[in-house]
Amino acid sequence: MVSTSNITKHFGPARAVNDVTIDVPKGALAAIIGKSGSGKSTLLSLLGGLEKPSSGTIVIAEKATTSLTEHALTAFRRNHIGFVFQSFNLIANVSALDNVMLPMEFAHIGLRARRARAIGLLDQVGISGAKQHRLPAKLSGGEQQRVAIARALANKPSLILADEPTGNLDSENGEKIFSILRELGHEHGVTVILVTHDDALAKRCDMIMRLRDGEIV
Amino acid sequence: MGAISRGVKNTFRNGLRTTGFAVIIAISMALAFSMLLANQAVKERGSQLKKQMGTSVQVRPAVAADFSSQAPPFSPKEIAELSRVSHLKEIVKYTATSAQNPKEVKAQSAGEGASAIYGGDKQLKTSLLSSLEWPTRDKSKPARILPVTIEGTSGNRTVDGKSIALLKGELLDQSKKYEALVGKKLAEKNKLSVGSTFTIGNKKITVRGIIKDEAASRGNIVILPFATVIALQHKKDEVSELTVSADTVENVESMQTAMRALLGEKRADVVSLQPEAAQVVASLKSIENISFITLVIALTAAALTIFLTMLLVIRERKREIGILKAIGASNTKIITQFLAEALMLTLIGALIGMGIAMLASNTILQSLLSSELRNGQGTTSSATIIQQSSTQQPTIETLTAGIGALIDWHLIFYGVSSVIVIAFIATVVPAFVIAKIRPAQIMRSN
Repeated sequence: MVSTSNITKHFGPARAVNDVTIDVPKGALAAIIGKSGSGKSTLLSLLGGLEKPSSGTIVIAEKATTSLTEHALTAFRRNHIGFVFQSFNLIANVSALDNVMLPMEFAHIGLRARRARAIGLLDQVGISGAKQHRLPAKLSGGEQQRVAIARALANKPSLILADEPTGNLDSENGEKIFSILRELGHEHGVTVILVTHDDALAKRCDMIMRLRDGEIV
Repeated sequence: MGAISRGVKNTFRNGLRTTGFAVIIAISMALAFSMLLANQAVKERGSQLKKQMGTSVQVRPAVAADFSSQAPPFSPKEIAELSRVSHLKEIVKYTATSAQNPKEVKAQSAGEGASAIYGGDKQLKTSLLSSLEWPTRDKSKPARILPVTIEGTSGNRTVDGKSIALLKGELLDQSKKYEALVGKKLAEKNKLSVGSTFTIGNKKITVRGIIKDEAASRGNIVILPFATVIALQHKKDEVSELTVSADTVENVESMQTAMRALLGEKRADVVSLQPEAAQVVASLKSIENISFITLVIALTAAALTIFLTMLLVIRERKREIGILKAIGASNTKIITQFLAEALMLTLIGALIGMGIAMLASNTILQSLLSSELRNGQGTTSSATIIQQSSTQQPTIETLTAGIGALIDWHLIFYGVSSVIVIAFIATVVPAFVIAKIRPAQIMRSN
């Protein structure tokens, strides 16, 4: 599902990711672990097409994303990849429901259809009723992360990339989020790659990739 | 929620900031709209007055600044040079003298006899009896009988540039040397009708037409072909006055400038036939220029305000742009959202500005008018003063009365359109620059 071949990313003389080759099968829940500054988030950005590698190729769902134009990459990201960030990154001045509807709006799905799907997704992650109409600031951290997961699932992606999804949550909420992510792979065949520095959490994933100074060890 | 509604909603995200920016934009817009309305009002009145002034100007031998002397009449050579001035359509030559019936001269005592109105030339004899008497201060003495004005013109215009208003008969024909137009009162006094004859300087003249008396003095007049009056006076082909017409109203000013440059100030006075109107037109032109420059400055200020506001907003929301890009928003969607926000902000400012402009534009225009006309009055030429004193001209007050910055929906449309264009450019440029950056880079930089 996700394979990279010798990808390298450097910012000036510093190499954030160095010659990384990985292969993650469809439906797997994979963890990238490493210390702070080891290049985990950069690798995730490269996989998600938020950043272009300095060299090497990335293939997702049999598509070489490294050779796509900026416009095509945006469209690919919209249709195939969902993102979950440590700091949730919800749009502050629109409701939880509108946040989930956003990726579908960008994919030109009609208002009624996207509204119905967004309500369904929010119900699925446990945000229902009036909470769906609240602004992100009026929700707890765990709830915001669940809204972020619902948003990531909006366009039925084949890959979810989660950057420290439980990093800002207490253990109870972290556990809930992890469960949702694990279910996605097992029940819906969605590949999930998550970045964490929590070894215990990583051990519960299907596969672990450890990064040190930008290299897989 | 689409990109547009999201943008509109974002406008009110920070009420205090929106109010602040809207007020700044509104002030610039108010100034711009006021100037636009004032500019159009003076432009309109200027073109009305120009039409009223017509295409003709008068060229006369210059009068010295101290009124002590006047330059000699124009020679045929000078007139030939003048005729080559660009945009000149027609030159009408004038000469004038006076004539009096010997019986009338005799009837008056030497000191009370009438003198010629024009030029001081030797008076001609005529069989006509004058239709104009001038009462004396001493009631015991008889009223002075004024001589008949004999005007020679090479065109069918009076000396003040107006078309001759014919009551009966036909207008002058330059080839019919001894056929004349006679003022209505003069014709009545002498029981003349079309075809009747009279004499001037022993020449038999036939009445070709009777003309309307526009003023009391104009009733006591005989108009003859130019060459005839010159011949009657046994003079050379000298011209005491010219009426020169331009091809269009717009070219009158440039033609006047060219003639002044050709003849020089000491040689000739080139004056408008309506000096007050000319002065008002000049003042209006000055206001038009001032208002246009202020309009450009105000619009530039508005454009800069919108640009800087949007630059600030966009820079502040870089992270949001990064998130939107990460979840699949195209550059177009992002630009549309910020454009809607900028347009909303601009429209709020423009509407408030328009409201202020509607209330304030008349006051601004009137204060511009009064200060400009006050400045303009000090520069009136000596020739203008003579004409002002000798003819009945409309006053500055009557010429500028009723100038108001009227609310013209076309203008509002143009104003709003220009504002939209400004907002468009001011938003698209920074939004496009930010949207082109990779999402990770945007999010990292935050």
